[in-house]
Amino acid sequence: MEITVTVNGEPRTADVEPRMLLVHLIRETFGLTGTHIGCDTTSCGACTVLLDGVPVKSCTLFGVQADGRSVTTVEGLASGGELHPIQAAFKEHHGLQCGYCTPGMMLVGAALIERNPAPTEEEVRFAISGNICRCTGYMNIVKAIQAAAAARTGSGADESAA
Amino acid sequence: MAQTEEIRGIGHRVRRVEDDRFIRGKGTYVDDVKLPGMLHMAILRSPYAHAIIRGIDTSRAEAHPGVVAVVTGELLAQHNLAWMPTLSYDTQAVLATDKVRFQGQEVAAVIAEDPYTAKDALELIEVDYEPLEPIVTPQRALEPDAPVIRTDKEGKTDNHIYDWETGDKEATDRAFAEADRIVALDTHYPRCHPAPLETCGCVADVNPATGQATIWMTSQAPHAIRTVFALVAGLPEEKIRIISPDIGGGFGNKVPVYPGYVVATAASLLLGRPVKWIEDRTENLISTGFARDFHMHGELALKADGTMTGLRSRSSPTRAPSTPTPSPQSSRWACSAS
Ligand code: FES
Ligand code: FES
Repeated sequence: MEITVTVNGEPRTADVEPRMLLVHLIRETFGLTGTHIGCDTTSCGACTVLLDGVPVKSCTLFGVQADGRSVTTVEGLASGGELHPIQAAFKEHHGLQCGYCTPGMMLVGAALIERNPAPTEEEVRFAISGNICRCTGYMNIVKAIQAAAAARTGSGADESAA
Repeated sequence: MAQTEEIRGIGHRVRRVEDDRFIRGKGTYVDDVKLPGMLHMAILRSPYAHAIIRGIDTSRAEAHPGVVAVVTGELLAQHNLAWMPTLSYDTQAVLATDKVRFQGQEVAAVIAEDPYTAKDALELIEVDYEPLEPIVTPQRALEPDAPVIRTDKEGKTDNHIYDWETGDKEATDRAFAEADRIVALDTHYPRCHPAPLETCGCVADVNPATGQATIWMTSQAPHAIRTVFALVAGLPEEKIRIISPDIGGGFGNKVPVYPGYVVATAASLLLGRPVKWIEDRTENLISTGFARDFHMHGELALKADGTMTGLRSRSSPTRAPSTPTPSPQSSRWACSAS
């Protein structure tokens, strides 16, 4: 069936099987491979994207469920050449190793600091509790998300968070 | 030597070269590789830990629209590809022929135009299994009446793999003979799985014109794997190129040569088109290398004041039916024991 999804601000139309998962629509049909797949049980969060601004696991939605809605993937985080504060903070605070969980972690973080400009460590850990990282041990991911929040509000709390 | 911003070392920040592409979603992991004409492969796995395969009927799967081929051990055997060497001087089945030796073992593979069709067709393959007694503990494996798992090894009459001893036996025995107190403990060091966030997979591209094989692979050991591929295929190493692009974690899980890599490559060779195989998480957890699972007995010799004078330990690790890598720690599948 034919669907139209606004992907990173641009309307995209596709003719898809009703059973096609959103993550495959994004990766295979739209060619945006920054969204990853890590499991088949909704456990890992590697496939996280924002659906109308809210983090969702795109392996657990059908593509057709995104019809008429807007999806943000990791490719849509930076505006032009400029990194989103969450991207800059992940780089600065070594919030990634292999990079496989990173798009999902950053999108969850971006959505969190959008609604909570100064999350506590506990709030960050709760927000990323649906996302697994097998490399880093989470410490620097938490640091990076808090630093991004601070950078965004210009509160200068970056140093204390680090 | 003085450290400056130019001469970096301990205490200096290191800018990682890969971060820029990863934070922009521009990495290239194996599943991101897409080649013209590429086909997709899915693997049918055994639900039994130990069973004779009496027959496999692939006709319904082959007739399914979008399916290009169904590969079985029997087909591979015709090309002398049903068994392969491991990195530990053992052999392992690529696709099972005579019997399955662990739960999740690769039994057949479907190659189709798209991954959904490949998975659909798996359900159309009929395998006639005759279940045998499974072995799930190393203790049972060593009992004299235990069924033999490696019947493919000529003259094999038990499940014993190896004995390995280290230390100074005489001095240790003396310490225990002279000890004021000896304490002993039986314990189990549980199994763990590395579970890298990216599962295993490959894109195999054997060029029918040049015979050159290029394989993008989730591998931590591309050079060793090239050697195994050369042995299996009987090709010179320069005809084989293994590319490890960005890898989503490995932790030792991505050292062995898994049958999926070999079947995808054989399929690409047979069909003259690139073949992608990406395992799912369930497959990764049940069929790829795990670690530990040691059943251990430890004894400590002590003086009356608590000084430790001797330590003895004996361990029976659960081992794979085939030993895929040189490390005694990382083995594949539970069944037999040492
Ligand atoms: S791939 Fe979606 S939660 Fe793991
Ligand atoms: S950086 Fe490898 S899984 Fe998180």
